[in-house]
Parts: sequence; structure tokens; C-alpha cells
Amino acid sequence: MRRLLPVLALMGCAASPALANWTASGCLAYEDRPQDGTGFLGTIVQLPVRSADLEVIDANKKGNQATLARSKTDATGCFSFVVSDTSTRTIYLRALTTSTQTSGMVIKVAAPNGSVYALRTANLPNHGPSTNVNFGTLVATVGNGGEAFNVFDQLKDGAEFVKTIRGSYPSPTVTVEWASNAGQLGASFLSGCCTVILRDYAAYDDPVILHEWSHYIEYQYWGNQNPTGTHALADCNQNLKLAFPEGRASWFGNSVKRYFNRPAANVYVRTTGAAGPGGVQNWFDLEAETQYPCDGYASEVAIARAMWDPLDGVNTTDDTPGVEDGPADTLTLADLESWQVNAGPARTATTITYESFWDGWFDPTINNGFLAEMRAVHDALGMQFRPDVYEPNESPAQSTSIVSNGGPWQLTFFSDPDGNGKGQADTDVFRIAATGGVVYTVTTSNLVSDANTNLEILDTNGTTVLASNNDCGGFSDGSSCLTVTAPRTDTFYIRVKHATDAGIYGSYNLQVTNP
Amino acid sequence: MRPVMVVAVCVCLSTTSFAREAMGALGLQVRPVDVTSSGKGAGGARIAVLLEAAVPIEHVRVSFLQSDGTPLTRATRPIDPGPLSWRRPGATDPEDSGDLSLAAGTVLQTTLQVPLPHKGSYEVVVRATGDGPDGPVTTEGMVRLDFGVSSITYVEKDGVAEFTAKEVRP
Repeated sequence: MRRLLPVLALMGCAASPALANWTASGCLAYEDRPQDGTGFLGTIVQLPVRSADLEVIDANKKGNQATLARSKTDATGCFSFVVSDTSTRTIYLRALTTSTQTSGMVIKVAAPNGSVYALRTANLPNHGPSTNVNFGTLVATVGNGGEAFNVFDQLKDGAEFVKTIRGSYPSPTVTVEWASNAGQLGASFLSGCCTVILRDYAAYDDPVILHEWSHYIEYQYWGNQNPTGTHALADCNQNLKLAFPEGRASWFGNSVKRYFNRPAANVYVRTTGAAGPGGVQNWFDLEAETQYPCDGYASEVAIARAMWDPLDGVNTTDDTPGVEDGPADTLTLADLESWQVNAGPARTATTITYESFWDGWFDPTINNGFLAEMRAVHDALGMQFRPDVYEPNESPAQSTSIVSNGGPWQLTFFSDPDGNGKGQADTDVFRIAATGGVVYTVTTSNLVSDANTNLEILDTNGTTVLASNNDCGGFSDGSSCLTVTAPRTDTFYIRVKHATDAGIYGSYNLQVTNP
Repeated sequence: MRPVMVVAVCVCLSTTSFAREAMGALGLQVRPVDVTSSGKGAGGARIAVLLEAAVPIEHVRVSFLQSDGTPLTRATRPIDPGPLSWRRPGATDPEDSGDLSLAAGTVLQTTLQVPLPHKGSYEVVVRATGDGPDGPVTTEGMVRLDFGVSSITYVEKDGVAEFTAKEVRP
């Protein structure tokens, strides 16, 4: 028996069919439905399917045994790779909405049941192991795979954008869960990482896809304290901890479009997904207050605009290519400038709001600078991160004299003693010469951003509180009002403190009147 | 005394939360309720329409369209939204008929019967307009209704939903 072993081994080798090689080549494209602020343009264009996994499949086998070779599409959607095979068989090729063949890129589009999507060729029967195949250009059309590959392409852009900033693709794997008939009426990001659930009809809403994907970036790299839930673009007085991550997600998602010069990079639009042109559910322009003209950083729309302006430029693919967008918008900074704020001091802030971003920009560890330009951008959006002209007036000793019926005085809760741009909590104190027996009404109004006043009247000694009011119109009203009769003719003080809430800054008006 | 087996049931509440897609001044959702056949190849569907106002919206008007923008018709006439009965979710009594206005935060819903004249895949577009604090407000919603056909064109194989490329250029 021992003598027979070498012979059997030799027979075994002789029985194995020789490996043969053949080359699979071709290209893949998907149909896109371009959009702008009017919704769908009504046109269809073909774009390359980039960085998609490819598989050559034995049509008569299942599971891993069916896969004969794997590769990927290149930046033009094309491919050419060698397949080692031994048999004549029925084969087909498919492109998947996964990126396992691209080192470090971990993106996936899948149905709610976990199935990834693929575009496949027809079966190619009796394919010999040495026969090269050019599969031609395969097109995922609208309603037949185009949607899934459009979502995949947005994730690809997003991953590439992040790589340009931080040097590597984001991880772990982000999955966009989508189906045309899943019954999803709204897109959302599932915290706990890393799934985006997409509305059934949103697969061509690139800004929506990128917005929700940006929540994944927030979750992984920037941190956020988003209370989540229903929110509206039209709400100019949102919870600060919601407004910031939502506005930031719109800004970052559209920044992906800006970086790659995608059309209408300045437009966030949500559509019905209906066939044909139009179909806008809501939209806004990140460069112009044509929709939702909210002032202050309690608005996700205003935050998106404030974060957009310092980084966009004359070459941005917006409504005005070739020019910047207004006298306040003079900056064209690198995306890294904002990233390092979001990933640095804004991430570690105790309460993460847009105030964290502003302070982080000027934090000594970041020191992005451009204070005058940044203030110009933010002033234009009603975000006054600047001391008012009466500073310093923290105490009665520093108070400025005002007269009744003289206002309103436009003020900010923002102190910056060292002038570096990073703010501090602020209290505003004024003194007034009052006439005994006269009734004075003191009010705060026009509260913007996080202005939330607590109003006090102090006696002549500057310490005794004669009267105070927090919310003039009830709990949800941040303004304050007091009507007091001067106990004697003397000097009294009006102290306005920022009431306790998620932030410390904001702007407001103070007015003192008497009959 | 018989031993009693105590089964501890752990109800594990998910801490998962959702960062949701924003609505505009006026939110509009449309979803299918059911699709039925009425014989002779024709059918109908009930669709639920939900309106949600983020700001006060007055004089809300609703129209029903096909995806090409033409009016959705019943017996050749555009569907009249006038008789629609709007209710708050969970309420049994309808809102007062007439001029429809929504306070901020208000949600109203209604159900509409839509004709499906033949087998096919339909898109019904609902357009809502109104007057908001900053001017006119318009939004749309859409629902896709499959009657006697399937709009799903992929085939599942080994955990992969495969679309077969229809267009292949040499």
C-alpha cells in the first residue's frame, strides 16, 4: 500500500483540470434624476456606478460556492479583471451595493430584510473557462435598481469627502436601509450606529440621504446630544440641542455636493419621489434666505447657512457660479477647519449646541481665526457673537446710565474680555435715575438665538432686589417684563441675566418706559 | 403546596432613537390604506392623508393630482376635496367643515377613495396649499398604488436582491 501512495497522488494531480483564466470587462451606470429647489428637473442622466463590488456567479450554484471571482468598478464605473475557472458553465455578473473590495470603504445599501441590492446581467450559458467576456455597459434604470445605486453613490461621495479631510474613510460600516415598498414615510438615522432608514420615495433625494448619513458622521466623530423627534425647517425657535445637529447635518451633507461640484450644491430639497418634474415637499437654499428666513442659532436652517458660508467660494456649484454670495460672505476656508472644531472642542462641550461650535472655532487649541469675517457671516443671520457696545457692564459699578423712554437698547449676552472671539457668560447692568411715585415698565423683547432673560430691579445699594421677572408671557416665553413704582427719587439698577437653559448667548432688546 | 415557577419576563425597552427627516411649514404624508378590486378589471384604493402644521396655516386647500401634474379624476371629473372630512388623530368627531385652518402643531387626517380604472402601478400626488405667517405655503405628498401588478422588479437570490439590467449597450 505504501508503494501505491505516490502513484495515487500522481493520478490525483493528473485528474485535476488545469486552471484557465478569462477576463471579465465592461461598465456599469445608473440613471439619476437631477434636482434643484424646484424638485426634479424632469431629466434623466446616466452616472457611473463607482466602487461597487462585482461578482461573477455560477448561476447553478448557491451561496459562496456560486461566486467565481470578485472585483470592483473603478471611478468611471468600468472594470476589467481576471477570473480563474476550470469549467464550462452558466455564468452571470452582478454589481452589488456594497464596497468590500475597496480597502477601508465600508458602505452598504440594503433592503429592510438585510438583502443588498445588485444589478445583474442575463445568464451566459455554456461559458468556457478561457473565453473573455465584455459585458458591455449595464444600466440600472429608474425603478429597476437606479434608486439603490444612487443611494450607494451618495455614500461613496460622502466617504471620499471624509477621506479628503481626515485621511481615511469613515467607519464602521454605514448601512442605508431602503426599499421602494417598505412603508417608510420619513427618513431617519438610527442612533446606536450605523443605520440610516430611508423613506420609500427618497432614493433620489441626495441632500436627504447625505443629511441622514451626516448624522452617522456626527455620531461617530463629532458627538451630539440630539433629542431627536419631529422637527420643522419653519421652526425658528428650536431646542438648541436639536437645531445644531440637524443644521450641521444639512451643512455637511450639502458640503459633500459642494466638494465634488455636484449640481445645485446649495440646495436642500425633499421631494415626493413622484415621476416627472417638480414634486417638492420642502426645500431651502443654504446661501439665501428665500425659504425659512429665521434669525439666530435656534434654527437648523440658519445654522446650516452659517456653517456653509465660511467654506463655500466662487467656484461653488450654486445659483451664482463664479461669484461669492454677498458682502458678508468673504471666506473660502478648508473643510478641515470646521471638521477639527466639530471633532474637537465642540465634541467635548458639556452641552453641545451651536455655541459650542462658535467657541470651538476660536478655542486656543484650534484658533481658526478670521473673527471679523466670521462675525460678518453670523451677523447677517442674526447670530450676534459679539459684546454689545455697553460692555463691560457686569455690575452696578460698571453700569451704563440710561433714561426712561429712550430705548430700545440692543444688547447681547456675550462677553469677550480677551477679545479672542471665544465668549463668556454675560450679565448686563444699567442704572436709571427714577422719580419717586412714577410707574416704570421694563421689558425685554426681540429675543434671538438663545437669549432668555431674567430681569431684576436693584435698589440704590446695587444688591437689594426690589422686583424680578423671568418669563413675561409664561414658561415658554423667554422675555421678561416688570412694572414698578419708584419708591423714591433716586438711582436704581436694571440687571438682566441669562436665564438657565441650554445656552448662554443671544441678543435682545431692553426698553424702559413711563407714562 | 405546589412549587410555583415564576417566569420573569424581561421587557427590554430599546434606547434607540431616530434623528428624523425635517418637515417644512406644512407637513403632508400620504399612505395607502387598502386596494380593492371592483370587478371588470377596475379597482379602487383608500389613501390616508395626514397634514401637520409647524406654523399657523390658514385657508388650507388640498388637491389630488397624477404624477404628471394633471388632476386626478373620478368619472372624468377632478376629485373634489370639498367633502373631505378631517379629523384629529384618535378623534371621532370631524373638524368643522368649511375653511380649513391649522394651528401650529396641529395634525389632521382624512381618508380618500381613489379610483384605479385598470391594472397598473399608480402614483397619486396630494398637494396642499395655505397661507402661513411668511406667505403662501405649498407642499406635496405621493403614494404609489399597485393594482394587480407588482412594482417590485428584483428577484432574491442568496440574500441579494437582483435587478436584471434591462439596458445593455455593447
